[in-house]
Amino acid sequence: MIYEPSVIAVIAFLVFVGLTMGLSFYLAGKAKSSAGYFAAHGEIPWFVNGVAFAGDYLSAASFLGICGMIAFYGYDGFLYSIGFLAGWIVALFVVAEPLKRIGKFTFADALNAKFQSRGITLVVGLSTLAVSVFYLIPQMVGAGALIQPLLGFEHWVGVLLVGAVVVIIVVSAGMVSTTYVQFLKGSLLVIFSFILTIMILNRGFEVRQGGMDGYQFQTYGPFPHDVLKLRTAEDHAALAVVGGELTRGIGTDRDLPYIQAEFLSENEPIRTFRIEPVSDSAALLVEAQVVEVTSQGQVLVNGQPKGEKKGEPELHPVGYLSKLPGEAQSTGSVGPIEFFQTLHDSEVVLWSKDSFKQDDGSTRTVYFQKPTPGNEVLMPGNHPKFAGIRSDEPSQKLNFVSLMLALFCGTASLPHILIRYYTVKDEESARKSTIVGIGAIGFFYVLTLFLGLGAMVSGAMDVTDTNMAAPLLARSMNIWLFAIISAIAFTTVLGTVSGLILASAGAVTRDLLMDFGGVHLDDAQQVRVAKLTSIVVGVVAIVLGILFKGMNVGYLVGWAFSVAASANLPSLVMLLFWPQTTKQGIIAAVWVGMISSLGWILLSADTFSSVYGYPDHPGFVPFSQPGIVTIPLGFLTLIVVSFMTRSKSIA
Amino acid sequence: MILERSAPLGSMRPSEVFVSLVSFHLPLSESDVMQARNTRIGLILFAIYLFFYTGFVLINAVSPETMRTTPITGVNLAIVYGFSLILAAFVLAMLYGFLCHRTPSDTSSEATPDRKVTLEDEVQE
Repeated sequence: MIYEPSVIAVIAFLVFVGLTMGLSFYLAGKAKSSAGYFAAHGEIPWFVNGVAFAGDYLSAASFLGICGMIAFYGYDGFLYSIGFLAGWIVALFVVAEPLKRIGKFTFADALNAKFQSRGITLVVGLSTLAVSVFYLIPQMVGAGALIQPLLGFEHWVGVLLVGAVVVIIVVSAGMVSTTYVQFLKGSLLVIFSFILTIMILNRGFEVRQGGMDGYQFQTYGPFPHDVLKLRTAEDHAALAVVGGELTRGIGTDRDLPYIQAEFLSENEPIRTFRIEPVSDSAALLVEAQVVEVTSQGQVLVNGQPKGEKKGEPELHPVGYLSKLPGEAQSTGSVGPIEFFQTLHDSEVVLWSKDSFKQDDGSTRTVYFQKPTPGNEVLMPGNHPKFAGIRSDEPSQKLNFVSLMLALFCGTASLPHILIRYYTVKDEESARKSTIVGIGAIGFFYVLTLFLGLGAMVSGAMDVTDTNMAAPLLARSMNIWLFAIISAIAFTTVLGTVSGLILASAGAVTRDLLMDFGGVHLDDAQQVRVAKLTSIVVGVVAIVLGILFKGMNVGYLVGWAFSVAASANLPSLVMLLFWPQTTKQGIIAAVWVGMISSLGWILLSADTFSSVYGYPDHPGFVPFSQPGIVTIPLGFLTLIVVSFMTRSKSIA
Repeated sequence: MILERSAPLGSMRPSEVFVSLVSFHLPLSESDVMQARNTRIGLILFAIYLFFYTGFVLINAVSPETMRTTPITGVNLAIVYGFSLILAAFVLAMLYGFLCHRTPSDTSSEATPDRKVTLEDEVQE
């Protein structure tokens, strides 16, 4: 699809970023000491902190990734919503109170409250860094994917923009501004998502044959199978006669279910159709879309060079219903329950893709229609990564359970979430702020299901990019809403990235340099080093964000959650609840958890196909999600090593 | 590190024993009892949620077709259960806040003072 920067979007965007940075500089004076820099004096009001939790937590993955996943595959994206939110229960009920009571400035300090151990500080500092970096990558990739359609710039520009802006904010003002940025972002995100949901319900459903550009996808036939083999001139002629507008079919060069056809009209001389059998003897030709990247790097869309401006060749937007219950053509506005009921009995046209390398070195990707009954769309198991739960393979079911476990355990283990506990003045405020956070986040996730499904039928989806579903949905409704939501999405990324950079700065300055390295820094020096670290981590994040372009954002976040849960949670929980925990136990558990989860991920089939580029490699582990193995492994290691070293812990 | 107790183990309730073991250096006080109660409430509510969540995960893993049933006409179990989990998280959180009592030691942290910088230092700058 061609994205033309809209002037409104650019202005709204600049206004938002300007406001954010203005706020940050205005509050800059408050963060001169290291205590201020790291933990905002503990004077942030609980309500603000609670909404800031939401702003911090609802990152690119939630907003862009989940909505996009739901828009393209249905219910499965919602599984992430459920898992992400459930993790807060672990955070609130198990970890929050005890942690606040013994906590200081960073996660490592909390662990160190009982043992003063350089070994602990080292490994926890490293684990904080590792998780922060893994969590940063999807945010930066999301930024690139966001800027490109919004403002028309290349992916790397978006990444660079986010990196630069965040580093400036963090370096100039530290935690205080970050909190208020995230409070702002959190409230706006929830409010405007709510507005968008109301608009979706108001618009209702209608039956269409194509997306919002008015293009109608055609279906021809049914043709007998042998005619579709197109071996003879008669076959071609037969196709032409029965097909009406078709003049000539061009067979594909392999045993693939596609045919290309020429048309009488000039606008798009070649179209691709997928052969969909309707019986043993006949099949329909259902229109598809094709993107071809030649060996010279030229991009062709449906046979023509991809255009730059509107009106030139591009992929058509998609996302529509092919059938409504009772043969209706449209419904009026619907209530929230009616929304699901109607969808349940409708048929939606989803789009799948098929990619293959041709003999001449080019890569062809065919995007084809997959009409799906509404009740299928609303069931888990539609997405390729979740389809395994419908099969009989135990390893795939274990994979699913493993992911849900990692999401459940991961929230409490994220270093950038934990830091926020220290910015309120006492335990009760910490409790209240977490409740506000859960309320806001839970409400937002409820909205994501409406947003995602609304996008699915909006007629505005770009088949190649799931991440743009939510903003494109907004664009299909109202240009102002689009501008605002895009700006909010950008600030979303800003907020999350600043939190992560701060966590990394804390880890490097206090844990690695001062505690483990023994370097003495006074307050002013600490702040300076923290700022320098922020810049370095920012640069690393920018580079990685550019390198990982195109990777699924949700997948990367799953990485971060799995590593966090495996490395941090066992130690955190056991320290808070099991008095026989020894420092060697903690050190061993964090190392083992971190390395086993990282190793598992790097050896998994998913990584081989998405990162290394070997799609059919089975990997060296039975399934891709490490959680169900590495989290218990962390606990086990801690228990065993603590037992082995217990005599040393009795004073 | 020696743990002090103000009463023999046998006469304390389990939650008090528990708290005395995890509070590193203070004898049992009213605030510790509060904390024990709060912690216990937290763990019970956590267990309830865990049960609910595990049910969801296991049904999807073991019997995914069950999610197709429609407890409300036209709305399947997957959606109902999913929304319920989200709502339950919030309800339990509110319940927790309601049931927990403010502990007297809330404003005095046991954090060692050497790294704590107070507002007075700030004002002097």
